[in-house]
Amino acid sequence: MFAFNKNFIFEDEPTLSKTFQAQSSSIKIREETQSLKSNFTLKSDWVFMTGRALRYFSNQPFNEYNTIDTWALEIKNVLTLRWEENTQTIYYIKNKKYTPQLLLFWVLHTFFPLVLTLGKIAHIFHVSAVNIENQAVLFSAFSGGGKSTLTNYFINKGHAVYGDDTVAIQKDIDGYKVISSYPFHRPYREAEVLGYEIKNFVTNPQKLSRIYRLVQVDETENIVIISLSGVEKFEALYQSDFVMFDNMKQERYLFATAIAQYIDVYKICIPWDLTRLDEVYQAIITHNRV
Amino acid sequence: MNLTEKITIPSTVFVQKVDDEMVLLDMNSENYFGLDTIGTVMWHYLSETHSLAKMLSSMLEEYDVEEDVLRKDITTFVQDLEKNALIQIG
Repeated sequence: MFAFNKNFIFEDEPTLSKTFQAQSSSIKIREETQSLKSNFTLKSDWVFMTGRALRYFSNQPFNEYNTIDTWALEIKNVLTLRWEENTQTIYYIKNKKYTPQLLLFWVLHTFFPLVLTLGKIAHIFHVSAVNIENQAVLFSAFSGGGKSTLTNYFINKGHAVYGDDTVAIQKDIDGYKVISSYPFHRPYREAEVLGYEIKNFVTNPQKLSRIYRLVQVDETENIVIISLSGVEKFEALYQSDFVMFDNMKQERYLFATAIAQYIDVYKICIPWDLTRLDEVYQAIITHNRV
Repeated sequence: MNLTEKITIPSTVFVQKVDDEMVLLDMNSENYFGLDTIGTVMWHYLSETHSLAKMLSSMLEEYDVEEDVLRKDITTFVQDLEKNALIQIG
């Protein structure tokens, strides 16, 4: 499985994808049977995400680290995942509701984005992203705000995709680049499911061009695209974060204000009417040609 | 407002420029605020002087404005900042 510019090798799950990219580094995912919890001195309270209770394990408080080399995440009744930095390996222990598809979901959707964030390797944005005119264009919205519906339309029009739910952002020499997340697309609402496999998936990092913040308007209203600046631009970037740990507020703030200097952010008013989706598509395409 | 009072910016407040505006984040509440062009200028003098009296005199030297008008504008500005816990007065 190729995701986040890495080959994910599920060593003990033969049913999961074996599609790899040459010359890319690998993340190994390996089952272990002994309890992971005894390896850690600290554990968090249960938190709730995607319909499951989760808790973290570590040997040092998350708010005191610079980088943390090993930590774990328990998804109650499903599995526990442990990251080992020096071997680039994710270890897991199965629990009673474990399935290979849930392993794939939790690794790609949640755990590896946390690895990139806590390791300060990349920033994860909760956006969908497509290729327009050889540029990475991101769509940001609140949950249920139309990201996946719009992405689905772009897929059907032949556009390559960087991610349906998240992408990783990294600082580059002359700006910021988008690293595609995982090749799945879910144009429907269902918890713990990655969705359909995307065939036209971008595998190379690409310069980040612009972000559109999708705003629902009445079905009869016009499609309007407005350039954002100042605090509105900051807000669109700050609220696009996928990982929102309390101890990372300053880092998120500095990232949002820094990236704001390099990219354009627009608000696009989208009439809430599926029959007008082509108008929205054409408006975005035209806007990207200007 | 007493112009002799000192202004303190809490260590939990972060300030960065985005385009022509200052964006302030209060870490405790996670509320953020934008200052327009005039607010950005006022913030500059406030953070340089940490004193309402010095802020007033510096701005009077620099800008062609009536003292009463500026005094009123500064008072409104700092009261708004204080209300949102972005500064401490006194």
